Amino acid sequence: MAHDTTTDDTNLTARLRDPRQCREAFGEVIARYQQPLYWQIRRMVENHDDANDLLQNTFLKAWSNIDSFRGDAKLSTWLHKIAINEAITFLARERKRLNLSIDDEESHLVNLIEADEEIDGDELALKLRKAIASLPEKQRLVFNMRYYDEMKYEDMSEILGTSVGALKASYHHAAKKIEQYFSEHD
Amino acid sequence: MSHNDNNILDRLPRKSGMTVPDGYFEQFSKSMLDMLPEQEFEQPKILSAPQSFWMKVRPYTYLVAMFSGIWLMMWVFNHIAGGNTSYQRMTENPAIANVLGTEQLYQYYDTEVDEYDMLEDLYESGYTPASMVYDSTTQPDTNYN
Repeated sequence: MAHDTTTDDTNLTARLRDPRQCREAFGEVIARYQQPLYWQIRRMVENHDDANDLLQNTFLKAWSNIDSFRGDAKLSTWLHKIAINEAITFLARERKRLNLSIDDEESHLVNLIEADEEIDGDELALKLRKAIASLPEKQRLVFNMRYYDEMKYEDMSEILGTSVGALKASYHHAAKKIEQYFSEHD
Repeated sequence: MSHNDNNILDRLPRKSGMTVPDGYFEQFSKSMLDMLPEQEFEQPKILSAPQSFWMKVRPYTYLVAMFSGIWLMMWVFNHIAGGNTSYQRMTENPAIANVLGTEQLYQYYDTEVDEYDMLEDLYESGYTPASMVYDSTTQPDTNYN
């Protein structure tokens, strides 16, 4: 994970529980986690504006539920869970709004990727994004977390509530499909 | 992570190619903080359990028990000391009444006690002439028997 700062998080969690320091501490939470959460969301929804809205919602939800965060889970785990929920809920809402089946979602995401203006022009990276868009939602999520964020399976297991074994299998299947995609789209 | 069987992934740069507008994250931090509503922290609630009948009368019961205990203690002490405090007047005490009912007491004062000595004793006891003025409204206790 990009920010594996357990001690800092423990200190931050304690300050989040203190009404006098809560707001200031939450400012630090935003500064520390905005980037990993943004990229987590962006890779799922493929569009900057949507990712921006969902990131705002993520922090607003975290802020309004700060009382319920008891520190039993890691702060990063809790925030990633909220962000992923936001992204998945958004995609489901979009499917419903656009009357898309799960199979149609791939072409919808590819359209979004091709229309995306916030790119660096790397063709291989763009092709990889399209390959990832062809994966089922859960595999896409697992692949992104493991491949781009290099997240530990144990951390992913905590966030997604899936066993480490199932996550490894999921990643393996995703990698195979991407390999196949590349061989078919040479 | 093992990429031995994923040669294509090994060859790819580990980046998504996505970008964000310039200064996006710096701006996001500021605007996000401004966007946060005021947090209302719940004060811990002091739960008041419904009072039972016993809880309501308990203080009065304890008060009654305390005074009963004091009264009983005094009664027991008095009983042990053999005293009988039921005498309302000194002359009702049989021992005193017996002494006052004999002529010897008066004869003793008439013959043995010098008037001058008695007055001196009274002065020493704090009596003054003013306090010894006879008051006709107060009747002396003559019930010596």
